[in-house]
Amino acid sequence: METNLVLLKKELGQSPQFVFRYYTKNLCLVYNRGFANENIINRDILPHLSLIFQGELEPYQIPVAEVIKTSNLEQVAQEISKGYTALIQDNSIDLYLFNTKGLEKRAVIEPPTERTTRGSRAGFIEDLETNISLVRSTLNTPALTVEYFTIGELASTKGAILFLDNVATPDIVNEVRHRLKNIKVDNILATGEIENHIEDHPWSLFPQAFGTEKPNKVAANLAEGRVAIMLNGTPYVLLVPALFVQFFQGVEDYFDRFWVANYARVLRFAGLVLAMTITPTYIALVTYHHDLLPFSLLLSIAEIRREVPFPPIIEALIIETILEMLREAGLRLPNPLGQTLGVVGGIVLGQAIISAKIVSPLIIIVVTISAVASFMIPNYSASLGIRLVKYPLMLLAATFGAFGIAVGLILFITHQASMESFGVPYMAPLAPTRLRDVGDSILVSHTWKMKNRPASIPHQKDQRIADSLQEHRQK
Amino acid sequence: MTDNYKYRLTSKNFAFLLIATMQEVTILQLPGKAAEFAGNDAWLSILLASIPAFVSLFLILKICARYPRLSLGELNDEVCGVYIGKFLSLAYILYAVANAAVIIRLFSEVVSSFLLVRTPCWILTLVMVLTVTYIFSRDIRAIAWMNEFTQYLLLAFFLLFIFLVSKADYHFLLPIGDAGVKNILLGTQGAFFNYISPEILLVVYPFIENKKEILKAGSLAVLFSVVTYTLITIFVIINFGGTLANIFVWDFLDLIKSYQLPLVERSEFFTAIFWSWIAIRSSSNELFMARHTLAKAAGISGKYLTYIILALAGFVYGLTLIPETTSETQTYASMVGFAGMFFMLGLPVILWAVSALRGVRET
Repeated sequence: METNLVLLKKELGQSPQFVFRYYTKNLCLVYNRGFANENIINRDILPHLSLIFQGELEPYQIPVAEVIKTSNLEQVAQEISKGYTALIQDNSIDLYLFNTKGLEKRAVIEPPTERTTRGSRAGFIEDLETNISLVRSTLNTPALTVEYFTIGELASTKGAILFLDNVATPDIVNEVRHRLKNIKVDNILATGEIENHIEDHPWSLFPQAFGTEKPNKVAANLAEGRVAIMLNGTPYVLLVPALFVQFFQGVEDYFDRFWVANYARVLRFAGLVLAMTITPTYIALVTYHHDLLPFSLLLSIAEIRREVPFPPIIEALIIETILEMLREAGLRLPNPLGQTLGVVGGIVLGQAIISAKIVSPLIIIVVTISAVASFMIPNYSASLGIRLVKYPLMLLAATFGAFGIAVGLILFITHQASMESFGVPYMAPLAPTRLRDVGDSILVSHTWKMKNRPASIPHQKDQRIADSLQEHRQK
Repeated sequence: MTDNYKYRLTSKNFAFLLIATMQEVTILQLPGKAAEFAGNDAWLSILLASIPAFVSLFLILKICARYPRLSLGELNDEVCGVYIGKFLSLAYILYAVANAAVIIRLFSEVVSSFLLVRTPCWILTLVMVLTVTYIFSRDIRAIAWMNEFTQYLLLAFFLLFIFLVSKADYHFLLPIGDAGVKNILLGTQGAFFNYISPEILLVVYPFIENKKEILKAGSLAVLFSVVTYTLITIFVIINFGGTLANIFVWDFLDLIKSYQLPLVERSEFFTAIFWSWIAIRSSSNELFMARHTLAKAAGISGKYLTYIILALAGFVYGLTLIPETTSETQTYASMVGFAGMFFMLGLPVILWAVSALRGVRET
């Protein structure tokens, strides 16, 4: 027993968190004070140790949810770290692990970055098992397959991939397994790190895995043939393969009235175009093509800009940078402070900067429209990418006017068209065109009309609506 | 970066690739060229000039069906032997690069004349060359998908030209056929060159999955161009008339310039953006064809493709600097046009005849 304890101490490392509770000199319990529930140990394990000592009870008869028998000290150390309690006996090479996990969990609340007006408010938490259960409660089918994996050579973290085995194609699932297996790192902290390791184009501005904290989104995507990647300790779940249009789809689009949903969807794509091009267009028009502006507008622009000392590009860069700084600062501040920052930054600073004639009011309007447009994009990672695309376009517009914008846009389109996510064209169903999926891209069709799974995502079972009552009524 | 046939194209992808290669900057002066002889009947010349493109598609399919796995760089060697084959491949590469250079130079001159008057042309051509280099360094699927996506945007943009009928005089079109058959036929001379491009099928044939659909897809692509060109010509004729159309160098652009839209008043800003795409797409496609043919003819792959791409980029930029005036560029454009006619019609006939003599049958 002493040898085992010495070796175990070596595996666990030096920490007062690990408790070595000797019942007798022949029996010892080891657990992690922070992760194990001491009530379970006191109530369900300690009272039975005397019986084990006397040989009247076997350790696996202890009334806890899970008992593991093992002689692998490395595994024992890992499980103790997660909240298991180990029983070490004299004259026995076998150790017993009792499930006494009792770490306090966060409540299943609505994620702040994915608020919704209709639909489920549930959001993932930091516990893997809870997250898997949340998906299973939304997508209750025996086809839902969960495969666990561990990543990390120095400190391992447990994760899981989820897919529907009768919908997702083996090619995609195998590719996910293969890429995860090839992540050789000491430790991993979040799914975002996994994304960096497995994505096809690491230098791109745009995410190639769709990240979400909502179980209903994961369920909907699994039902289309995607694979979900979860990691213990993070509420952010990755879905692959990802499509560019996917980042513009909101959950409400499928619940709202047909016209309202389409209006919102088109508005988001208009937001994408505006977020990227409105500031470069302003720069190009004011710098090079003022003769193309309506005369009355040109006069008022000239009047407004008369006392501004900077060219439009500098004006735009000053305001864009201030706005990005405010956004970045506001992101991590507590709510009341964030609001103060908004007032001070947005109103006071904006007013002061115009009064000081550093920039014109027109550029404030342009940059604000651009910022609001970028906030319309439902996915935070995608909106960040789109905001950054604007800067090279601004520089090109300042150097070559409309021609510069044209060059920038076609480079952007080519870059997007050449991207793939796990072998699936990133710009599908727009390029290449998949007519069947156009009903859920820039526009959104009635859900009862989406009878087949999206052609853009490889899948096994094509039909998802066998018969539509609404269709009969329409006929 | 690889040129193996792992990157498959659908027949639809090919159609978009063909449209994008065919429609290039000279559309801006197409109506005027046809009107030189055909006057107000220029649109009839545009329609007639499309016939060689359909014939070319048919001929190319005949020869490619005999060698379905071979691209032009390999096909020339297989049919004509190594020496003549390599010579034909080299000639095609020179033609494709020269064609791209002419497109880039002509469009730079348009930008220089209408938008960036003080920016030297060599700077604009450099920007264009750098842009097309990025594009033609991608794989064929990415290029085809880019063409496809931009085509939808361009189509939406073309629909805006409906405003060009608001001040039109339809009497310019009447009486139909007034110019006479001879003049209408002479008018096709200037329009033939705008239909050059089916020869890209010789290069991309092995990439295409469903070979049975190529003729239909290719014909629809040519038909799409026919409709576009005819509409553009009709717009110019009903606004300017054939005589005036012939005087302007960039008649379609001048037409757009002469109209005022509500709110934005003048639409050149958007026209410049969309027309840049047209020029960039066609030159990128031509350079991809040159790159692939060179790679196949020289048996180069892997990392050495990067050197081919850089060499072609340098070469095309050098060619864009040769013309000193717009009329000189136009002369080069005509020379490239004649070369294009050879590769579109002459080369398939030669390859088909030689392979027939050698007794190769269609597979």
